[in-house]
Amino acid sequence: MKKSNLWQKLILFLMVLGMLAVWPVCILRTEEKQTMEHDVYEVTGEMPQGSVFTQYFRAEESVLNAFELVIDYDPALPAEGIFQIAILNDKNEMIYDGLFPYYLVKDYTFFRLETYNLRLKKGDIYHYRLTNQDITENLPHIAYTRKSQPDGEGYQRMLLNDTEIEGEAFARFEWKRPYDFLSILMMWSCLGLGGFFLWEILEQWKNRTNRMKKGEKNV
Amino acid sequence: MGQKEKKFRLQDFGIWFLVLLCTLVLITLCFDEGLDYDEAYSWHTTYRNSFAGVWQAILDDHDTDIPLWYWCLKVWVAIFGESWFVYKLFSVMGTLATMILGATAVRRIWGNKTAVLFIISVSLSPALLHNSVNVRMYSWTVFLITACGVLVYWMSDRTRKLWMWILLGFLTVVGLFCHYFTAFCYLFLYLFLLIRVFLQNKKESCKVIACGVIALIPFLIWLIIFDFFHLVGGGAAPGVSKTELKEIFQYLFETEVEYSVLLGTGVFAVAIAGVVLLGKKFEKWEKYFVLMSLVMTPLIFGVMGYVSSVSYHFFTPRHVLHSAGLMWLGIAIVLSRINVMSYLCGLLFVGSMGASAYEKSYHVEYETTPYMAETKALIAERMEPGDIIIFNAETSFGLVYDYYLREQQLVHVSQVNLEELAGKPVWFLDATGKHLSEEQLKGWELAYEQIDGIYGFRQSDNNTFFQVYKLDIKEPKE
Repeated sequence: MKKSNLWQKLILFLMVLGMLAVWPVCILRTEEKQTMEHDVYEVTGEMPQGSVFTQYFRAEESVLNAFELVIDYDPALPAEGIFQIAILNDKNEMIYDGLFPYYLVKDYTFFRLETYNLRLKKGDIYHYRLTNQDITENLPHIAYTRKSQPDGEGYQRMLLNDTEIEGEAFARFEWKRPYDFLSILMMWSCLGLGGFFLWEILEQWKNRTNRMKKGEKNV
Repeated sequence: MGQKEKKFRLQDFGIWFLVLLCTLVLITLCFDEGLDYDEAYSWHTTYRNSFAGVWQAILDDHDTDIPLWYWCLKVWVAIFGESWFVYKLFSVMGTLATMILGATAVRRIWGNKTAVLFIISVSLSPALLHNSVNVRMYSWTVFLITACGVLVYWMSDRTRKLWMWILLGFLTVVGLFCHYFTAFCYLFLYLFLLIRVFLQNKKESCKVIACGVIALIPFLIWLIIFDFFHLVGGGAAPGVSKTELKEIFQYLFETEVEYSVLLGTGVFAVAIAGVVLLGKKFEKWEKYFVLMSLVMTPLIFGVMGYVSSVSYHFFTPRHVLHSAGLMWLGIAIVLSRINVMSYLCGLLFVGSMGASAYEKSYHVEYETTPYMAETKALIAERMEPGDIIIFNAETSFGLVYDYYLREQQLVHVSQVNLEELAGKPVWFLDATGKHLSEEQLKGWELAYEQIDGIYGFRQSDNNTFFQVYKLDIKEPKE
């Protein structure tokens, strides 16, 4: 290629950035929701104020976009108060922390908690802690299942106030995984095509400008 | 042998090897025996009818088909034998013809780079790959329209001889008699030729009109016989088609890759932008031809959507496929002109898109028929010619069942008359749980013997798998 100007270099730079974002940096990822079979579920005992529900899980990817759990309560009564949610690593270091109001939770329905592309170490064990901060009435219960999940390997222990609950923990995780080989190739080739095409447009414009400067006729 | 000659021979070998490779890739998708509804219709129309019967069947069905492709399929099967592989091979031959066009005419006019990109995209791009192994006429209409387009471009640039007009007319008639909606593609191609010839030699432009009219006459006669515009039959049009333009791009570019439609549309957009903004890289009329090839598909979508609404014919995205070969030719020409890196990226794109499309088609061909082997074994071992088969899937899916149960007699559950079936060997294929009504059962006793296992043909929305029962029909003792 001929000597390029600043704009052309910028385009090629953005093109390369885009390619890197696809792979290997993997900023751009695809969502993968863990599907759950509909099954018979049980609920834990009441969670009085200060109670903590803990579930361990293995990071199946390095980016967690959201997770969902099921909270059970009496919908006929008011749901007032705040939950605290935290995610901790195997060294009990808090890597995610948030609050959400009780009234936002729909009874016995998957409730989604956004983690906004939280970076984890793939394969490591983490746990989340759901704490009843100040709910004193219409106390919540957490749903879980006694049967093994189809992909039960990802699900670890669960505890309510340090008491282990017999059964399989029940939560849905939404991971973001890197694109597969063909997707990467298609995206790279498209980005490359767009980048080199724009480079060529600028090249033609540059040549035209040079010709005009030289005072050529019939540009 | 000189260096130049060696290089040419190597390029020759390379191009033809690519054609062979793409053909073999398509053939690998031809070994299963799962039929979709349209394929069952093709088989049924061809197998169950004589040549004259095909004509009458098409008239009765009031579809968008015309008999020629069915007649050709009948001849093909008569030569090579009655097997589903042979049926599928007929579609592969259509795409092979387009690839040969790429290796010869396209290569001669636009060069090796364009030919390579064209050959890969017309064989392995999502919609064209699927239709290359689907027993319908689309792989052949793609060839006919593309061949006509290349001929029109080539003719417009030189002294036109009689044999060129005859060939053009022939390709037009054959295409029109394979599928109605090729007419719109020919309209644009003839318009291009007319304008070009008119500007070169006004007197000769009447030859374009004459060729078009002569080719159109048999088609118009057919439209009148078929009552395409309801001049005789009357009846209200069903309303404008609900198909949207984005569905067309979805059909042309979608694979398992996320954003594949967006990426494919992006490449399409680059091609249009390329021919507009880099006009100096093309000769004047070459630019117009490429632009026409690219915009033909979305333009035809608009025209066909309207025509199908006033002529009482359904319209699906597949009906714009006829111009897809020309669209890819346009993309190939542009991408090979931008610069070397753009071409390589374009090559990588069609290659990876083709790999993803193959993955999807492989799943459709081979992984949607998990119970095929045991179903065919059951039919072969337990069912006799003349046995009655009651089924409760949608009535139209009787055509699919007919392929596998061609020696048996199919009856839809809603049309069962137990009096006629008493004493005969009767089977029941239960796909939906719908059984005989109380009215049908009045006065009769039915004993069901369930055959162990799950059975089925190709997995599809309303025609999935079924349980098989042997029925014993008894008139109760008074």
